[in-house]
Amino acid sequence: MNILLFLFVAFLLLAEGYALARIVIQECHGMLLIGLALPLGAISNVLLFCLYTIVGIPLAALWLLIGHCTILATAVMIARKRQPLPSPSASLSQCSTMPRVYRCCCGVLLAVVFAFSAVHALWLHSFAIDSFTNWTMRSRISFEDSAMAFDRTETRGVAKPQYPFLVHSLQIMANQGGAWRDRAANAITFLLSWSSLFATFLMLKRLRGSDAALTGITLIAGIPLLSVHLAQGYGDIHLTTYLLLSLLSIALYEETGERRWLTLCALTVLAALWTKSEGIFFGFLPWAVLSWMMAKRKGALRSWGSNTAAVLLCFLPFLILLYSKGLGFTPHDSDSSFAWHPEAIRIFFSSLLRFGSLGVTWYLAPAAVLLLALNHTDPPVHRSSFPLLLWPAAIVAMNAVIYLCTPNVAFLINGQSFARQMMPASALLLAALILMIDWRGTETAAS
Amino acid sequence: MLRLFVLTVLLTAPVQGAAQGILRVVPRTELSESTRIDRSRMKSVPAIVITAAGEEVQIAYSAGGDISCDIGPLRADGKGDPQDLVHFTLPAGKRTAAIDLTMSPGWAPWSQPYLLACMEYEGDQTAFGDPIFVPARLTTIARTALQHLGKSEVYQASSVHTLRGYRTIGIPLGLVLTLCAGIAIVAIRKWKAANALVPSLVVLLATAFVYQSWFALDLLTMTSEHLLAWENEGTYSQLGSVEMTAESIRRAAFEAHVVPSVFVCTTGSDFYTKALRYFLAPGEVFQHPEHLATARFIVVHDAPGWSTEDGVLRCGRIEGGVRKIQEFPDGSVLFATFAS
Repeated sequence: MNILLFLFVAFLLLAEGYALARIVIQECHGMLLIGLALPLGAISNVLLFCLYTIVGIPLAALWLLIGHCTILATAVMIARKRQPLPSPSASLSQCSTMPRVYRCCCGVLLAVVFAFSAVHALWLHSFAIDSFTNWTMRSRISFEDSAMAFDRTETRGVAKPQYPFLVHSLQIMANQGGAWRDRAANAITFLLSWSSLFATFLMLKRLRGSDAALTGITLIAGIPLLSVHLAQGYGDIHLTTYLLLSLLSIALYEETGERRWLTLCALTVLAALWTKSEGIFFGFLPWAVLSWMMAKRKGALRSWGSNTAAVLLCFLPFLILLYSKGLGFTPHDSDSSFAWHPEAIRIFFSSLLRFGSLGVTWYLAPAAVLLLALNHTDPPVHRSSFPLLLWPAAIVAMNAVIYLCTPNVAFLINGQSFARQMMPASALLLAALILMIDWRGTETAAS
Repeated sequence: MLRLFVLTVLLTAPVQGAAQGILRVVPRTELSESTRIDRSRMKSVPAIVITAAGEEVQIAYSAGGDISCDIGPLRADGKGDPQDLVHFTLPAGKRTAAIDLTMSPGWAPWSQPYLLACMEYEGDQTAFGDPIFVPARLTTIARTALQHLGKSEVYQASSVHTLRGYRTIGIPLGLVLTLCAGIAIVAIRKWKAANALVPSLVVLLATAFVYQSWFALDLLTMTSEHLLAWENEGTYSQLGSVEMTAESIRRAAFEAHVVPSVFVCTTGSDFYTKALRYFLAPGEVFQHPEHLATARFIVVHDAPGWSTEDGVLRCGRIEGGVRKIQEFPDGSVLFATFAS
C-alpha cells in the first residue's frame, strides 16, 4: 500500500512535469521529456506549496491532490494547443566511434555509482547529519503540521528554516496518504537526482553526440563527493544537477538560437533558487550575465528580459514569506560581514587538490582547458563553447569571496561546507569541458 | 647490482635501538584493537605538538599506570584528523618508547607537525621527555608508500562534507596521477608534434578514469559492508540500530499510553541524538541532564562505564531507577523510567 501511494504521487508529479516539459521544449515525445519530467514537476510542486503556505491552505493530501490535478489539466490543455517542433536530427546523437570496451568501462563505473546511490537512498535509512535537522527533519515536521515549518528555535529539531523548500515540498508530497516514511522521502529525491542526470545525458547527447554524453555523465557522476551525495540527504546534489541542466540549456540556446532553451534555462535556474539559497550566487547571477550576453548577440534581449522577470517573480514570494515570518535570508548573521583572510588561501587550494572530495577534477580539468585553449585553432576544439566556462569560473569566484572574505572561512578550515559548495563548480566545469570538444572532429584529428 | 646490494643491506639492517632496551610500539588504526584499558575512566594528559621528520619517534616517559595515546599529523585547523590518528598503549614505568609513525595514514617523510595526545588514570602523574626522531630510510619510505596506496576511503557522517582522499606518504594520489599524465603528454608531444591534442586529451581522460575506478572500488566496498551489516545485524555505520530503537520506543510509548520523551545517555556527539529525534518525531529526545526528570525512556548509547544495579541506572552524571526494556544489536539499551 505504501509503495502504491508513493508510485501514485511519483506518477502524478512525472505526468505534470512531462506536460510542462512539452510546453517548454515544444516536442511531443522523446526521452528528454521523460528526463525533464520530475525536475520540472518539482518546480510546479514547490510553487503550489508556496501558494498554499501564503494563502494558509493545509499541506494535506486532499488539497494537494486538487492543486496538482488542476495544474496537470491546465498543462495538458496548453501542451495540446501548442504546435510541436520537429524532432532533432538523430545523425549526430546515435553514432558512436568509441570502442565497445570504453563504453563498457563507463557503464560499469556508472553502475557502481547507481548501486551505491540506490542502496543508500532506498534500502538504508537517512544518515547525513543535516538530514536530521535542516532537510528531512524539516520535511517531517512540516508533514506532521500540514504546514511548512519555520521554527525560530531548534526545540523540535528543525534548524535553518530560512532554506527554500523545493526538496522539502517533494519529500512532503511523496509521503501523502499515510504516516511519514523515511524511504519515500529519500526515494523521491533519488528519482529527482537520477532524472536530472538522465536529462543531462540526453542534452549532452544532443549537443555533442553519444560518446560525449557517456563520457560527460561518467565523469560528473564519478566526482567522489557527488557520488556520495547521490545517497541523498542534502540539497547540494539537486542544486548541482539543476545548474547542470541550466548550463546545457544555455549551450543549446547558443548553438540553436531557439528561445525554448532560454525558457528551460530560466526554469532550471528558478529551481536552483528554490533548492538552496546559494542558487542566487551560483545560478541566478551567472545565468543572468551569460544569457544576457548571448541574448544580446542574437537580438533576443526582450526574451531575456521576460525570462529574468519571470524567475524573479516566481522567487519573490519566498522572500516575502521569509520576511513575514521574521526570518533573514541566511541562517548565519555574520555572512554579510566582510574581512580578508589571506591565511586561508593555502587551505582553499589544499581543499581542492589535497583532499579527495572532488577527485582529480581540479588537476585534470584545468589542464585540459589549457590544452584546448593553446590549440584553439585545431579541429576538435569547439571554440564557441569557451564562454560557458564563465559559469563555473563565476562559482569559484563566489566561493573565493564567501570563504576568503567572510566569517565562513571557519567552514573552509574545518572542512564542513567548502567541498560541497565547490561541487556545482566541478560538475559545470566538466560539462563545459565536454562541450568545448567537437566530438565529431576527434576521429579526424586523431588520424 | 650496487642498488640491489644497498637495498639488501638496508632491509636487513638491525632495527635501531633494539639492543638498548627501547620499547618498540607499533600503533594501530583501530582504537579497540590497540587499547587494553578503559578510556572512559581516564583523563587527558596535556597534548604535545612536535614538528619534525622521521619514521619513528623515541620518547622517554614515566607513568604510574598504563597510558593510552593517539598520535598523528595535525590538520590546518590545529586538530588531528581522526582518520590519520593511530593509537597505542604504553605500560607503566620509566622507559623509552619508540613509536612507529609510518602506521599513520597521514605520515610523510618530510617535516610536519604531529599531535601526541595521551590519557592516564587519575593521579598517575605521567611525564614525557624530549622526543627524538629517527630519520626515514629509503626502504621505509618505499614500503610505506605502497601501504598507503592500499588505504581505502571511509564513509562516515562527515563524508558528505569532505572526503579525505587517497594519499601516499603525504602526496595526494591525484597529484601522482597528474604528474604521470603530464609525463605521458610531454612524451606524446615529442613523439607526435602535430595533432597531439587528441592523444593528450585521451591521456587526461584515462587518468580521470583511473582515479574514478579507484574510488568506485571503495564505493562498492561501502555498499556491500553497509548492506550486509544492515541485513545481518540491523546496524548502519555510526548510527547503529537507531531506527530499530526508535521503533521500540514508539511501540513502548503506545503501549504505555504516553508521549515518547527520551533521554539519551552518551559520551559521543549529538549525532545519534539528532537521528533518534528525527525517527521519533514529533516525540521529544534530549541529551542534556536537565531534561531527565521529564523523560519516560532512557537510551544508553556509546557510554562506556555505565551500569545498572538493583534497578538503578548509573550513566555519566545521571542516576535513577529504571526498568530495562530492550537491548539492541549496536549495544544500545532502552530503559523505561519509573515516571512511565
